Amino acid sequence: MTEDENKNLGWPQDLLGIAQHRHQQTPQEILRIEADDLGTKTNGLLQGRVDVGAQGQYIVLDFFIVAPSLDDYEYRLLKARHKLLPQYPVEVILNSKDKRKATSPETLVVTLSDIFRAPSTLSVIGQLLDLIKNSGQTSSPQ
Amino acid sequence: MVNCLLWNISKNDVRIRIARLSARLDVDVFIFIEPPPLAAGIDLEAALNQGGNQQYHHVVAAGCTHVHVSSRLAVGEITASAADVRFAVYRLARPKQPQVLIAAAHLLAKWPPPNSPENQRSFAEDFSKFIRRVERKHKHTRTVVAGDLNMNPSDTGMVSADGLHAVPGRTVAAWPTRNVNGTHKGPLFFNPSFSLWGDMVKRPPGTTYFDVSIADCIFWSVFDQVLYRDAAAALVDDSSLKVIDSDGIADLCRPSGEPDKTVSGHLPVLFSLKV
Repeated sequence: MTEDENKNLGWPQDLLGIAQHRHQQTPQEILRIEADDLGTKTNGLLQGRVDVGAQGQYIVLDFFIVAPSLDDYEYRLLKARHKLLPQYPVEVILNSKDKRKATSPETLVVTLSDIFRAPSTLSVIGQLLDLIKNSGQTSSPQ
Repeated sequence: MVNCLLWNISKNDVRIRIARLSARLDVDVFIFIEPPPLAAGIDLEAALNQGGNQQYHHVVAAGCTHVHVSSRLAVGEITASAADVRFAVYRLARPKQPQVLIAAAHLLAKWPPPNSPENQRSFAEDFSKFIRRVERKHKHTRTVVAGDLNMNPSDTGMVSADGLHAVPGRTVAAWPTRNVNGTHKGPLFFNPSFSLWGDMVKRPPGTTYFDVSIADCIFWSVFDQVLYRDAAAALVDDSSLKVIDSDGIADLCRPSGEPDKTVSGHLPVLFSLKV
């Protein structure tokens, strides 16, 4: 999937544009908005899901891209973790070598925007959409 | 019976070797760890299918770059269910056979810093929770783990109740949970890979070899391991588990015995599933 194609997809939301309204939002709320938006923008072909867990003193949020028509195949795009209180800073973990820190809702949405638009993310989304297309299931399973 | 070969190929071009291994060991499913990047243009399936009528295909786990599975089972008998960049869980569903989950992984290396035993344990905890999530999704625990776990069987991340919780005894591994400081922790894995360590019988003493000038160098390690839940015990052929040191025509080790790093620094591990 090219950057232009992703712009057509319209995901993620215009994070920077609405960041000003997010100063009270928790990391979990921000991730859930983007998860819901992925489903909307792909007409349900792909969905986002946020799982909440705990590891030691941290709340851990796993962000998955789910393909319902591929037998609910799920790819964990990122992990985010933060203390119970305060919830910022939040550490966003892409892999063992790529860990980013967001100190506020505003910087979190900028970080997510960078990740969602990264070539590696677009590649996964493109690969999943191709697999769905090849499987013949190009309409929403809902 | 489904013959599986786990092999960290260190991003090398091993096309000639895997074609020979396929023929020698009658491999149905290759679980490659650290496959070459796509940009390298090394087509593993083309190599496996060359000169014969085998039908290996890539079982795609979108987004997972550290694991590459090639299967000659019928399309759809093995599919990817969930993945992260470093590990993927596959569902093996053969006709009239119990479904099995195969969790293939390339866990964090021991070095360089900031990697540490505690960091490895933390990563193993994350992998363990990921497996539990997929088990809940499929409503069973017939799970086999196969991977370059970058730990020895007795390392903290392997044994810890908060890690993979993998132990060398079947009886203990069959406990649904165990009490750890007043908290019930479970389930466990049985780790037959303990039995691959050392050369009391004639075989390679491990799957990787490191000769470093430190006091506690153990030289041979078993980083490439196979574990399974008690629920999968009847579906794993224990007698099949072995480290492979030859492709049938040429050795995978140097004359001095350690893995030939021009092929791979890791030796493959063969195991069979009775499905």
